[in-house]
Formats: sequence, C-alpha cells, structure tokens
Amino acid sequence: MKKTLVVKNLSVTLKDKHIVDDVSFSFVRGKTYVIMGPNGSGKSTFVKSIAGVLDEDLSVRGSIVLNGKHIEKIDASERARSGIFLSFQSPVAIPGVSVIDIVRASYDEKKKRIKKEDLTEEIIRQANVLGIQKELLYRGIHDGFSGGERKKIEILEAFILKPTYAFLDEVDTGLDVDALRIIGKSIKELQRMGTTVVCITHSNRIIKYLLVDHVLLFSHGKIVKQGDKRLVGQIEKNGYDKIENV
Amino acid sequence: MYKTKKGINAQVVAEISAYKQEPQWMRKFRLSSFKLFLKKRMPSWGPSLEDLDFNDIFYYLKPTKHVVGDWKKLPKSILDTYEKIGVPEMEKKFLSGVSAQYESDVVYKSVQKTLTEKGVIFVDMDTAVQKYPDLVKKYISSVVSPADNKFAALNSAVWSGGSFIYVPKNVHVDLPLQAYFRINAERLGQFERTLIVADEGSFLHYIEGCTAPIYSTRSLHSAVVEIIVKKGARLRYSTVQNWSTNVYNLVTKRARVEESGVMEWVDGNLGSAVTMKYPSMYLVGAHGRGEIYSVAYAGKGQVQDVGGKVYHLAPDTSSRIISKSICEHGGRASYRGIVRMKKGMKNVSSHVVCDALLLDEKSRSDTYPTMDISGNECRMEHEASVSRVNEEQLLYLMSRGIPREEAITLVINGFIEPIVKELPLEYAVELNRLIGYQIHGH
Repeated sequence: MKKTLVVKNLSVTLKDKHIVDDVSFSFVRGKTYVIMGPNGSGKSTFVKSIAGVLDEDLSVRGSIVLNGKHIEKIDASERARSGIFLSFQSPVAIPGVSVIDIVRASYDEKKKRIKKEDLTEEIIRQANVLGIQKELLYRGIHDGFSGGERKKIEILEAFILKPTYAFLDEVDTGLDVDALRIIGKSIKELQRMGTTVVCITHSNRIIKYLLVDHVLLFSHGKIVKQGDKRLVGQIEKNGYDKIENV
Repeated sequence: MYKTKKGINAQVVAEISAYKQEPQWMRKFRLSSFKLFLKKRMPSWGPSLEDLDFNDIFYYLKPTKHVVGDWKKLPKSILDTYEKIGVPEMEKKFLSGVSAQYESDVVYKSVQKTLTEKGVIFVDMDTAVQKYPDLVKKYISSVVSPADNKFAALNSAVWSGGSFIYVPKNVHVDLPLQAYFRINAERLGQFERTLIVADEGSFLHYIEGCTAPIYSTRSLHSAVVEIIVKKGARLRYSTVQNWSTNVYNLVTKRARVEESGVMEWVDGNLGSAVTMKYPSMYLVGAHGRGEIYSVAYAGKGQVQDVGGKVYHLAPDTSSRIISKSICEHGGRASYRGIVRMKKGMKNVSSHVVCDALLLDEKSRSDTYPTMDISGNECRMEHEASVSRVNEEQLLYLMSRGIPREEAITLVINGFIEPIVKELPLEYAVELNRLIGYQIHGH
C-alpha cells in the first residue's frame, strides 16, 4: 500500500453555507503540493479540517484516511501524534506558555531521536538556524511576536516535531526578503528530512525555493483546477478569475 | 496533653498566658486584646462566616513535642494527593509530625549556624517573648493593632507559635528561610503570630507553608503576620497554603515600609472553605515600594476572598498588585483591594492587575477594587479581566500533539505564570502540579 493521505468527499459547512464543498484528493508521500485560490475560497478551512482544529460551530462531513487509518473522528492531538502538522496562518498567542513548554509537552521520546533532556538544546540550535532570538523561546508563544517571528516559530515547531505531513498556511505572507529566504530553505530542509509539504500561498515568492510537484486551485470551496508548477505562473499572470474559467 | 476547655473567655486567655509562664506585659496584651475581640463586630462585607462558632473551638492545645506523628493515620485522600503531586520528603516528615527529627537535621544545623554568625535571630514567637522581650515589646502590634479587626484581636488574645525574625542592619540572608527550619515550633498553629523586623539595608526572603494539602480537624485558622521593613531594606514573604476544605482561613498580614524600603508579598491560596486574606502595606517613607502577587484557586464549595491593600503615605512611593484567580465546580474567587494615596503626596504610582479564569459556567469571580486618590501627581492604573479557557489556545496546543487535559493545564499554568515565577523553583513546580491535580484529579 502506498503511503498516502486520502481526503474523500470532505465538506465543511457553517449553517447552510458550504465553505469546503465535497472535496476529494490524495496527498502522496514525498510529493510537494501548493494550494492557491482567492481569499475565502476555503483553503484554510480545508487544511484546518484535516488537522482537526476547526471552530465548534462548523460541521464536517467526509473521510480522511492516513496510511489506511481513518482519522476524521479523532481529535487534533491524536492527529498530530499520527503525523499531521499545521502551521497556522495567524497563530493564537498563549501568555505564559513558551514554545519550549509546548515542545516539551508534545514531544514523544519513543518515536524521535533526541532525548527529552537534550530537547531544549536542540530547540535553541534550530532556532539559531532560523534566526530566532533565544529569548523568544522562553516567552509566551506568539505573545507580542512580530509577523515574521510567528512564522518562524511555527516552522521551528515543525522542525522539532518532524511530522509526516506539514500543512503550511501562508507561511510566506508578510515576510521580508531575508526571512523569506530562511523560511524557504527551512521548508526544503523539512522535505529533505522526509516531511511531505503542502503550502498554501498567494504568490510565486516561496515556490521558487521548493520543488513543486502539484498545484491545486481552490474556488468556492472546491478544487477547480490542478496542474504542475506552471499553473502558478499562469495564475500570477492572469489572476484567479481568468484561470478558473479556462 | 494540655489543652484549654472549648470556647473562649477571659479566664481561658489568662490560662494560656499562665501556662506559657509569660511576663506580665504579654498577659496584659492578651487580656486587653480579648476585650477588643468581644467589642469588635464580624466583618459586614465579604463571604459568609455564619457557620463559624467561636464556642466550638479549642483555643490552645499544647504541642506534643517528641511525638512522632502517625503518617498512616492521615485520611487516605490526603495521602493519595501527597503521592500524586510528589511532596518532597522534607515536607512529608514535617506534615506527618516527625518534626522532632529536625533537631538532628544537618540542613537545619547549618542554616542556624550561618544565621547566628550573622546575628540573625530566628526563633518561634513563644521563645522570642521569653528570650528577646525588649525586641518583641517594641514591635508587636506596631503594625497590626489588636483593634485592626475582630480576628486580629482574637489572634492577639490567644496566639501561639509563629516565627520571630530579626535581621540586623545591612545583613543579607541569602538562603530563603523556611518555617520548617525552626525547631520545636508548633506546627501550623491555629493562631500563629509572626513578627519580622528587617533592619536598615538588610534583605530576607521568608517562606511560609507548603503546597501539600494540610489536613486539619480544626475549623478556624486565624494568623497575624506583621512586618517592619526599615530604611533601604527589602523583604519578600512567600506563602503557599492548601488547607483542607473545612477550614476558615482568616489571616491579617500587614507590613510597614520605611524610606526606600521594598516589601513583596507572594501569596498562593488553595484549599480551605473560606479564605479572607489581603496582604497590606503602609508605605510610610519616601521612595518605598510595595508589591503583592497573589494566586487563588477555588473549587467546589470554596470561597477565596483575596487581594491586597496599599496605603501610600509618603511621596515618591510606588506599588504593584497582580492578582490571579481560577475557579471551577461552582467555586468563587474574588479580588478585594484598596489603594489609598494620601493628600499632598507627589509622584505616587500604583498598578493593579486582577485576572480571573473561570473553568465552567457554575463558577464565579468578582472584583471589588477601592481607590482613594487624594494626592497630586499620582498615577493609578487598574486592569481587570474575567475569561474562560480559550478554545483557540487549546486547539493550538492540541495540534502540537498535546492531549486536551494537558493543554488545559498548560494554559492555566501560563495564566498564573506571572505569580508562580516569583516563587522558588521547587515551590513553583509543585504549585503547577498541584493545580493540575485539582483540575483533573490525577
């Protein structure tokens, strides 16, 4: 059996409104995916429903199967422990709970190569690679952090947790060129370590750092077009409206 | 075992003094305080104290010195809790009543030796009355008068045990002093009286209590703590208490802070049926500073009525109060505080933050701040919030692989972190674990 993440007939609704509308798609291990689409087309909701972190007032139907195992009924923490990771578009601040606290609490020693007592050191080392100031690691996560710092912290968590599937929701938005380069390289490194990356983005900026295999275009809660890297160029050139109608 | 008969009258008070062979001045102090106790009314505000029956209490029980308490006689629920939160061995012995062992304890001996070399006096209050009468006479009731409130009057009449500490000029006590370093002390007395004098330029951190739940068959604990911080001295008084849930914990804590002195109260309150505790300070000298950090947890049937009071009686004084409370299962935690800035005082500032976290619909939190600002050029900031555990934060933590229950604990620990970080590490770790235990029961 091929290692895949299979989404089948996934719908997310708010009352009567379909935010994600009957989407089916298989993410194959080792490939790299990019999801594009206009604001409000359901991209974030789609990846959040895979990670299991949707608001309570949204209802979800359909199935999500990871390596042959249904995960749509289990909660976010179990999904994360099965290898799903989501980098939030605008992650919430948690005063008094640092990224070190979080990683220490979530770290599963049995599965990973680093011993728990060496974990802090490893976090500091990775933070250094990402250009994150050490003192941020001890502050409440995202509490008063800048946009760039937040994105880097999200990537840092992915580095330590080493998921099999990482959904990165607009990880390139609002970054300066230096931060963009660092994040781009880090995503590549994540791929090298065996993580399958799915990037939601609005531009070519981050894509030039990645070897993209597949591009999905979302509109009105559906995947309306698929293609290879060239699709990104077409979208940038012509805008979403035209592409959808091609 | 010697004990007074149930209930209280002047004869009982005189009997306590006679039994302790106290000097005449202390006997008089007790008896006149008792008269005040009779005159004073119960507080007209705050939680209900209706069920408190002054006639159903033993006011003095002689501590049993060399009795090794039977660990196994403690209720199973308490023992289980000790096991689960991993109470340090020291505390276990202390709590179980094997306190006589401390006489031979190496830690205790080395602490006492260092203190003696520096001229620090650290004895229990009864010993202080006998051995250092002039110092005690000079300072007792200089900050907490028996007329302060009904319970301060009661304590003044029937007090027993507590600590007496005198730190000489410019002496820095590096190691935090803990109540259980003291030998032959009455353990966690019902009416403890603590008096601390930090002389000019000195420093002391005193730690009272412990995070382990304290089993008590007694229904009333009414302590008085009075502190004198002299010019340029700094004193930190940390308390973590977790009384069993049948106890009324009504405590009067006050400090007088002289010129350029710094007083810090760090207060953690768990357990008890009702706690009323408002650590206070009188900033009487210019450039004095006062800080009050408190955290309270109220579970089923519990009322935590806590806060702080600061009286700015001199110019250029500043204060900060940070109060955090957590309630669940219908528990009630309130912040009650007073900040007063006297007329004519310049350049006075105070910052008050009180935040409450409610874990369910049944629980309740109220804020009763009083601000009386008559000075000029005064700055007063007050922030208050009541919130529930934020679902978005929980989902974030869960998305990192943390189970929901642990995520709740993390968020709560984060909420009280500004207070907990003020405690010594081992207490901080224990307090976090204890709150996790209260909330999840494991």
